[in-house]
Amino acid sequence: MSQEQSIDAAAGQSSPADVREDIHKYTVPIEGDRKLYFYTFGDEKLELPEGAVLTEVKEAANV
Amino acid sequence: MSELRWHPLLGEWVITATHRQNRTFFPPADYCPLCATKKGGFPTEIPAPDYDIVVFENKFPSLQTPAPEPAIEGTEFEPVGLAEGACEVVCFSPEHNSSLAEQPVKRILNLIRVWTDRFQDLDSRPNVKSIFIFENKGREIGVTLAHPHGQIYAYPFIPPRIATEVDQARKHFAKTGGNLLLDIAASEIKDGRRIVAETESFVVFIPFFARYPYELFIIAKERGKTALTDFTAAEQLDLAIVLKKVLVAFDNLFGFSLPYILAMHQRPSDGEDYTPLYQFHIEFYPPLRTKDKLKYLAGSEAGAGAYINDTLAEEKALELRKLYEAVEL
Repeated sequence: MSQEQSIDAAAGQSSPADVREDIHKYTVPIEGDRKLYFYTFGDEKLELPEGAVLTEVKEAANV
Repeated sequence: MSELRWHPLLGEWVITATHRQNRTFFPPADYCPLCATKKGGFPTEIPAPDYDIVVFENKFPSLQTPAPEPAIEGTEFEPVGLAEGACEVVCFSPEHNSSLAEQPVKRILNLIRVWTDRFQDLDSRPNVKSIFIFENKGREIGVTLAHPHGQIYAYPFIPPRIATEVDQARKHFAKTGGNLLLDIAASEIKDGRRIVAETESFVVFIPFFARYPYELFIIAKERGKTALTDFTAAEQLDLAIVLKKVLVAFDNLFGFSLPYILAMHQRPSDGEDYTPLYQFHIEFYPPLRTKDKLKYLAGSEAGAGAYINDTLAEEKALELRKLYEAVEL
């Protein structure tokens, strides 16, 4: 991807609301008794593994 | 095996993590553990065919909870501690051949929100005293996986660099009532020669005391912003734009993807109130001093702790300022 392509037109917009989407977190256990967190945004639909649990996202207090 | 061993000369902990000798070292792209797991393909660390942003506990952690038993018993003179805490890997792009600089501002904003979530989670753990979010980029820095990623360490102690900063900030506050980082930023703004950019919420500069030619600071301007959790939505977006422009400017410096260490310094997580004296900031340490010459940490730096910078911060800031201002969003 070139630098030009990577520039996000949304950044030129003045309000955070214009580029901000809902954030979701799914917690999944992985090998070695470890945790993995999938983060998705807006209406994004990802094929998540079995056992993925929707978990609260801790946003900053001021947002 | 993993433990903390006390260094009595320096008064700081050293982490041993012998299992990390076996960690994955530059695997072929088809076997990258940070790519998504394709159907019928090599099972990576990420058990899904695609992802946006993913964070997971490191398979080869220096710190973990519960911590393993130390390999050796400590003594009063040679204390040993538990290497407890957390080490997490942050994959901010499913693309194997990419970089943070190439991510859209929107994704960088989302990454800031993910970092904030991880900070809050780790900050609430009783055995965590400091959270360090960072990115090692490039072979020159010593990365072992080409796939773009960052890391988060949650230490059971306040690491020396943060402890020194806090100590200096506390002395400055006691003497002047001021916030040392904000006073540094104010001094840089007043002088102007080392400023790379200034936005509503952040100031970007190569500090007067730079140890690396292209060492760069991004400091939050409003007092009381000690951690990611203190930012408003507007400040998060401002930071995302600043990061994007800094990273693109870095890549345009020599015409290739610049290696660097991104070090995010936030208030410790030990329960104390750092609001009046400390300030959120990001420090970048690119290891290059020219297009094809590395700035090595050699005798004076590694052996005596005294950095020697072969360049003038005022000249390097001018280079970066022009590149930063040329970035269009």
